[in-house]
Amino acid sequence: MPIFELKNVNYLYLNRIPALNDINLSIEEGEQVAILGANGSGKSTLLKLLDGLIFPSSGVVKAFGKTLTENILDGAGGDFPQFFRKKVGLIFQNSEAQLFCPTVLDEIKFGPLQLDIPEKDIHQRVNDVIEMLKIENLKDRAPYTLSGGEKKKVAIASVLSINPDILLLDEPTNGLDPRTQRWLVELLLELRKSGKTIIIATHDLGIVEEVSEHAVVFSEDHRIVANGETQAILNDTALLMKVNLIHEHSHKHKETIHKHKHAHTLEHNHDHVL
Amino acid sequence: MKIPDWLSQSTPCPCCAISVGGKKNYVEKTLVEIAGMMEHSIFSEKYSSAKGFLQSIDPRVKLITILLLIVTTSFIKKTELILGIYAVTLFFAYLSKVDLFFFIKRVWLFIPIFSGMVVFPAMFNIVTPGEPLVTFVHFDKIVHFWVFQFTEISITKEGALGALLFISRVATSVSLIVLLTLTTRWADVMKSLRTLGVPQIFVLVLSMTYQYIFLLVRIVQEMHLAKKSRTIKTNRTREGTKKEQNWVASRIGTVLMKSYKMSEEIHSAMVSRGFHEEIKSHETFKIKNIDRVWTVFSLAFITGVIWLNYLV
Repeated sequence: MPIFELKNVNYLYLNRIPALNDINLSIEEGEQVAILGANGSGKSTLLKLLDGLIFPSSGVVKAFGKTLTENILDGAGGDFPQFFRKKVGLIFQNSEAQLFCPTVLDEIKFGPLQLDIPEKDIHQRVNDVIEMLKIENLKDRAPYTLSGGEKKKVAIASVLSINPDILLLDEPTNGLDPRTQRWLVELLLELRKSGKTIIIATHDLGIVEEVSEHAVVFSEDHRIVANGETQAILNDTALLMKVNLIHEHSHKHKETIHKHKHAHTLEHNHDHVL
Repeated sequence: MKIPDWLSQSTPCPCCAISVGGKKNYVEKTLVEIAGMMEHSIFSEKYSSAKGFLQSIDPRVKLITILLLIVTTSFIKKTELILGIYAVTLFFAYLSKVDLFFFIKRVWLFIPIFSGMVVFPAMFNIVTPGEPLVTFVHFDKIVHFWVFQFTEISITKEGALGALLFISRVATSVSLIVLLTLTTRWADVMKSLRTLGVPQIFVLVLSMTYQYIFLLVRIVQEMHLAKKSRTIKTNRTREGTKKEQNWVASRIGTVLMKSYKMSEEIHSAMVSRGFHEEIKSHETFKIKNIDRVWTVFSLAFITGVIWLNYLV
């Protein structure tokens, strides 16, 4: 049984601006999926739907076999809300919105505390996550005093302390310097080895190949236009051009005009047109 | 891509002929000052992370004892006793490695502005009749002004003593609060409010508001800088100032919308991590011997002050 199943899902912002258009998607346990698409194609909306934070205007989103609705996640009684929040963790694109506690330590504790994890285990988890991400020096600082990279690390720590089996990451490399980007990729590879399901929304093709085996491509009209193996999708330059993930690039090498499709992963693998 | 011709023309640079100078405009000054004040006075943990006496006291104990001292100060009627409490406050500020000059300056900078204005009229015979100390004007007949009647304008002994009592009470209370906030991390002050029975949702909202003010000030500052980088100064004339004020007013709306959007994001982030109606938290503070000693000392001090005020 897939962990997530979307059938004919549409989502309208403010009941009129389309953000997702007839989405059909299924994600299996343990998969590493990249959601690719240009700015505004609906990637973040999809992640929020998968995390049960918003609900479709029409269509069905199922998680662990149950249809996600406001009642099932917010209604009183039943163990599903707690089960779901323990299972699924979302790392927001904007770390500033995600860091709302007075100190980094409180931030990392927040999730486990809300989910009634025993106090002894919380202590252990918090210490382990801090050690793993090497943020001991930040633990007593207020999140708003941190740099962009540090904020991202704390945001990741605050979700990892819940130990979710499914990690949703929204544009995780945005605004990070190359070294922190590399650190993030290595962290994702480690998490992959431990069997986590990882779903990354991004337009940074540079990391996709390493962190996902499966890719879903969104067009600028908010539809899924491709769904398959990451390598095959990255090799389909016509498709990537069409959805605005790579662009044609021309520049001069001495006297020769040099023209090729441009994306980080593909720039060393192109034909000279002239 | 072909760029239009005008875009490739550069502006001639008669550098020697360009005039320079002028002051910063008021919007920029205000924003920079607000951001600076917040960063330095509120968010700075320079003193709260120092290894001083009050820093070693449990924040809950410190909060309760300091609040008790403030309540006592409000009921004391003898100025010399209040000045005594102020002296003790200064002594503990010194023991807590707070720069005394900075501490005194911070308190006394605001007292004349706020309390001074309130207490100023009460010093005169018009409001507080009594023995004149300094007479400014003497009239030949009774002057009727609104509900007052007087033959002279002077500062009275009763008025001056009343003003001194009021000012010393305010200064001591403000000093105690400043000492509490300087020697305690803001996060701990917030957590300690829970021990006073302040509802958790209130503490949470207060502490979040506090943090996000910083972020919003930064957004406003960036918006202003973005505008500044694309415009030239216009506030040298009255019309320019008006334009600037209109711009500020319209940006307040934009900031409100941005903050509303951010509040939605924050709520989503909280829900995503398991928040449901009520925040769960646990205390990590532990009462130590020094806290017990401090509590006994504070209670003895408060009892002593009350005894001196009412019984001696």
